[in-house]
Amino acid sequence: MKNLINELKLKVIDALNLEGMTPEDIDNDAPLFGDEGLGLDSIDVLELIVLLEKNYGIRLATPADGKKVFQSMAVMADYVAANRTK
Amino acid sequence: MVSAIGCGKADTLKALREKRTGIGPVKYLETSLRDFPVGEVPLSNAELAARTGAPETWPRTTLLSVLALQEALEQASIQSDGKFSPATYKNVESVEGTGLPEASAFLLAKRRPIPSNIPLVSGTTVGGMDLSEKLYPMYSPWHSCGASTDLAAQFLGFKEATTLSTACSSAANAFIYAANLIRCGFADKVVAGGAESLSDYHLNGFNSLMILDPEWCRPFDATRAGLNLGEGAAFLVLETEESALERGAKPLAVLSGWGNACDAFHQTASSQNGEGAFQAMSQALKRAGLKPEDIGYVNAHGTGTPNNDASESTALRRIFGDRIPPVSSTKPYTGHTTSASGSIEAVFCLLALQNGLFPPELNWREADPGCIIPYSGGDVPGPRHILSNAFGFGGNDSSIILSRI
Amino acid sequence: MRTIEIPVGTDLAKLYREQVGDYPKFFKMDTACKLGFLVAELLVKEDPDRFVTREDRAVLVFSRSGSLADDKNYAESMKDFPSPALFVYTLPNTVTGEIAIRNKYAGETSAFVLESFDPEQILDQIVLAFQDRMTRSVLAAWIDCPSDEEWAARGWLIDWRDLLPPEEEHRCCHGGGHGGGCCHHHHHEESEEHHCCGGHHHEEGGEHCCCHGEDHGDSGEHHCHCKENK
Repeated sequence: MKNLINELKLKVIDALNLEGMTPEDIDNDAPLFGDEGLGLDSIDVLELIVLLEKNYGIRLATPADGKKVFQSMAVMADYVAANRTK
Repeated sequence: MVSAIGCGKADTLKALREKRTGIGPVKYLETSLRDFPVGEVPLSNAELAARTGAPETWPRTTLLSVLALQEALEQASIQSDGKFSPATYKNVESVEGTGLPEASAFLLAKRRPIPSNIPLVSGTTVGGMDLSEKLYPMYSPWHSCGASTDLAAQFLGFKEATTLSTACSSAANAFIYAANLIRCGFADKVVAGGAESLSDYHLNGFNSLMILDPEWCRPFDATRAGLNLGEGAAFLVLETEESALERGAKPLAVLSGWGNACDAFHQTASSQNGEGAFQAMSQALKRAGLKPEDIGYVNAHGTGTPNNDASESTALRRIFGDRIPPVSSTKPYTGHTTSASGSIEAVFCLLALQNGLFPPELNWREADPGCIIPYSGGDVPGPRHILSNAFGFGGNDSSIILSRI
Repeated sequence: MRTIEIPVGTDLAKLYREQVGDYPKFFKMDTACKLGFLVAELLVKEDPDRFVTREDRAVLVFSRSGSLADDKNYAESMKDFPSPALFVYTLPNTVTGEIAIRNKYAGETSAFVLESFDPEQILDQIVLAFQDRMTRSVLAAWIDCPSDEEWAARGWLIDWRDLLPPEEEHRCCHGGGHGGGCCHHHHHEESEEHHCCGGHHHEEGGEHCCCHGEDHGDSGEHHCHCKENK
């Protein structure tokens, strides 16, 4: 699971152009959205939805589903581990 | 004009009276996303070419433009006469280091008589993308928005043409631009509007933003889930009162007000309090010298996305308070025709002014407390003034007001 | 008038870090928007009340290539998974959008595609932008970006006073200079003192005491004859 979280962090940093960030900078339980988190926005949710489909074969139906799954890196990793088809 | 509900004003009026939608499954566009309903013009490129005399190999945006332009020019009894006096800028020197001419000398040189040519101002964003996406990674020589307009312009004898590209507010902005050209004395007649064809490119793009509805769209409805893309073209001839009187032309309406403001919030979403929309509508009313209660009908942008309809409703409530006039979105008839929407919907407004007919909202069932309740039919007084909204990505929000003569 | 240029080949990330540094959304933008954003930053950095919403500044962006660089990147992504972040930028007016969002410019924003860099056409549009009686300054830029590595980027910040011919005699003041441009169709600052009116304030569009009670149309010349203070 630790590997998966790290792998996810690297992919998220790349997909969302989080310049200058490393996996160490992202706390596993920190909220990804909102001002206290990484400050991600609605377009970022959509890119993460694409990321999940592209890399793990998971299809999320709506941006609302996305927001639930992307609450934090830990929540995302759990979801991916449980639902990945790739 | 041409849209999913027909070619020409007569067809269009009939469809509005019959409450007939033009939205349905994809028929002509080559795309993998065939599950989404669209507002496709019910003519193939071959048929468009046959009707207009233009080559079938041209971009669909151009073919749609030519079809609409031919109707507009004929109705206005205008033939773009090919006589053109190009702007001459005498002795204009460049201000050191800036790359721009010396402004005051430039302005002095500009005092010239109104040229006899009639400019074309068209709004498009897709341009020749329908050809390029088939050729990619090569590009069609008519890929660019400007090129697709220029083809139509040259075909019809316009010697001066310009293209505006501000996504969904393009055609409304073309009218504003044309009005400014006339006010500044650069022309006394301008043909303005917009055109857009469907493309796999932007159908996929809107899908990646997850704002397409896999069902028929329902603006302002509590269950709305997104928009249906559409295509089409519409153009109007704008001219000064003097010019119209002089040549005995019969104007249909007055463009009495307009406004454009930037929401300055997000590239693809509208702000919660609809600030850009509110500013654009306020400016339009101010310019027209009207109060909100003077507006008899509003043709909303009303795309059917949860975001737009809530934001626009907030802006409408801020403008009109408790006394909101009949409001409807015509996008359930035509789909969201993006760059052409400002002009296609302006024609709907003209038809409303002339015939006392407001397009009733289609496919609306369930009220949303965050949204206005759209007009679904029933007797209302004939409007004197109609407000039409067009809001584009980048927060580019425009409103125009058309008034009875 | 202020002018700025970002030469091709400039390290944009480095320029951002040195000159801006407080807007991480920069890294999500396509190259054209990065250039437009940076040109604007360099032009308005020192503005007082920089982030207060204003409607009196128009943003006009010109190019030959529009959003072509990003169009190509998005088209590539369509081969397997169309990218929403790339699609967002496949419009020329996203450049004006980014400038407006950052600086809270709620006035006119327009994007023009031209055949080539044509200074006269550009100035034409700038002059037109001032015609709405609200715009007092224009942030204009030529941002031409056919690919992520090639571009031409220059910008201008033009105040309405930059368009005035120098030393033009003001009829209503019989040659006396004045601020505020109350003559010859130029709009004036609300409640700005008008020297030609002997120091009396008036609101824009309101009755003018200096005109002995006659108000004037919104676009009319001032009929004040400055004969007496009223």
